[in-house]
Amino acid sequence: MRTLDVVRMAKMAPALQNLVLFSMPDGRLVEHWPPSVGDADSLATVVGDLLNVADRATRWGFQTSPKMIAVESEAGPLIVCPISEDLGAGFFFNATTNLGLARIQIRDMMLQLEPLRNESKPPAAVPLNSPPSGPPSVARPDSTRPLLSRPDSTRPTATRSESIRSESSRPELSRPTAGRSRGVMLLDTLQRHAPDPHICLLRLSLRTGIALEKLDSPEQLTPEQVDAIATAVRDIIGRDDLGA
Amino acid sequence: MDKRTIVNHRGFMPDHSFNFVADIPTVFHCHHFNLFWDQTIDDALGAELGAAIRTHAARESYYDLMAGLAARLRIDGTDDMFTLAMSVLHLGGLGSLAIDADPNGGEIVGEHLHHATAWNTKYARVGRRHPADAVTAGFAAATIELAHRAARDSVRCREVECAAMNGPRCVFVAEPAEPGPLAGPMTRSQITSTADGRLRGLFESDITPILATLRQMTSNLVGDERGRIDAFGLSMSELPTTYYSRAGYDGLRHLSRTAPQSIPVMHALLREAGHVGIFHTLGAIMASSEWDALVGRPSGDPEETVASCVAIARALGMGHWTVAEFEPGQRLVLRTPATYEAIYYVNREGRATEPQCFSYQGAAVAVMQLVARVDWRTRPHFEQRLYARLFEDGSTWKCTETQCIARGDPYCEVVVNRRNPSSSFI
Repeated sequence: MRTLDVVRMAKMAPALQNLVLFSMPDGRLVEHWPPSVGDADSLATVVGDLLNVADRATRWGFQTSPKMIAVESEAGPLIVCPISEDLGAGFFFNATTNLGLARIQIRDMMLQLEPLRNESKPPAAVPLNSPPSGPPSVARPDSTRPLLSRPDSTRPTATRSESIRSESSRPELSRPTAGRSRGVMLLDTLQRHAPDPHICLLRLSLRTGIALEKLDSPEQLTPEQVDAIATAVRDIIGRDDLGA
Repeated sequence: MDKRTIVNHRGFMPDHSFNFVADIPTVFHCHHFNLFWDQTIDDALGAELGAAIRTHAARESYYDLMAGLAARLRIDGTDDMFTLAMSVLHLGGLGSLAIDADPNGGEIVGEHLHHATAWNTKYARVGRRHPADAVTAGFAAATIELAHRAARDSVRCREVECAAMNGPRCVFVAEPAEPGPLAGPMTRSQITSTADGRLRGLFESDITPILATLRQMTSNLVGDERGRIDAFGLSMSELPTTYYSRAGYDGLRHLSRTAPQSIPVMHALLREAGHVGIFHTLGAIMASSEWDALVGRPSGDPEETVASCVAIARALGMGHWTVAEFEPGQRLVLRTPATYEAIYYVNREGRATEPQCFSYQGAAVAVMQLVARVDWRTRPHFEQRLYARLFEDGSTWKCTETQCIARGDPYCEVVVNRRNPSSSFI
């Protein structure tokens, strides 16, 4: 797994205040900058939520995935981008940064993240039961550390002038592409959007009667089995539009 | 009706660690367990049949519970019966109902219902396509039957609008039904005649004082003015154990006829219901400020953690769990005179050839997770993301139910061993 040099990345963007990288769709923290960010886990989670919601909105409206989400506030712009199927990034810029400049600096930083676009898994997570010297993987924030996600009297608070824009991109996941069967795409959709993804295949097997072993080779399913899977996936994730 | 009137009819069997309301066994579970248990039955049978089976199970168990209470309180009139029913609903954390129906039909409107609210809380971003409150539908049917002295199972209720489906409220319709055959009783008597309660295990000197403290809390755990029990960051409910057992085993029986190849999958998912429910319930209680005040902040010591888990499970009426063996990080053997699942199976289903305590199996794994994989020194926050992280490397525990009274064994026992990470949950 490639090591991320976020310090070097951050130096490419003088106006950058905070950077958070997170796995998708669960919003788990992968990396952050600067190290003094208080509750980076929670920050990754809420920024990941933002990307998840925007993804749903653009898929419903445009049948595509978002390319970038821009949130403008008095404290500065926040830009959220998907990097790959499994990775997203949130960039917090200072109040003097306009959206255009932020996008330019992000473009430069994204070049550093280019190799990650081709990787299928994010970097390994901190063990759930980490040793005392490691970061607390399941902790609530330490009350002595500043919490970026909470209102601070020294920082400008958000106002109603916030705006959210998301930009659509070419479809990557929602439609079958060459080499990806409909069955493969459906299972991919299920595992990205199902609640409790660790057992979503069990649920799919129970609903359809299709053996787990057969679900391991979705490209070999019959058309009837694929139709049954599509119905079950729609029910499990609660959406009619699967793009398939 | 003052809730204390009904609280006074709550009971507890120390040897079996089961709770009762008017001699009907009940148990406290959190919304994670409730949602997953119901969802598994619906996944197996389809939403319509799943809801029908679950409604039927709820109707039967609540009829017995409310009839028992009414007899003890000498309640006879229609209005008084409705008042009693609404108090029972509130007491159990199921929400509130306005019933405008009789055995010939009518409408029931629900607010703050446990299952619909639980769905919206846990799965806010997942669209739900079928109603969530089959338990409340069964409760409403039983209430109408009792209040109007109609025959058992002569009223059917089904949910036609649900707040979990983006609706503004939950609405049920009542209609006449053909009574079916009645199942045998499931009361305190069946428990004492089925299982010998005398079992002791490790760490009893630690478990006993914690249990005594927790019992003071759980015996007074009742719904608030909305009829909800929101505690420890969870939405809790007290339901008759017969509901869970009947819905689960009826579902398995039906699946064995229609898709027997899927039985192991349903077993695995019922196990997962126990796992997710117990992990969240026991974990959230131990991470709570109430726990700090009553017992003391968890230190992370493995023996202390496993003793705490067992004490909480007993206090909630899950059974008299005992620790037969414990090797921190490697092995746990949980033993109980009987689970509520096995008690039901012996009395209603007969003799099994294999162990039948699926939620107990999952619960045992959850205890091991809480002992071995949670860093208690850093004040864990029990939410979805924490739970999801348990599975990042696959499943690291293997559990086997090695003894089960449903099979004729002297007690129910689950053995949990560490294994190499595996993607298999079967």
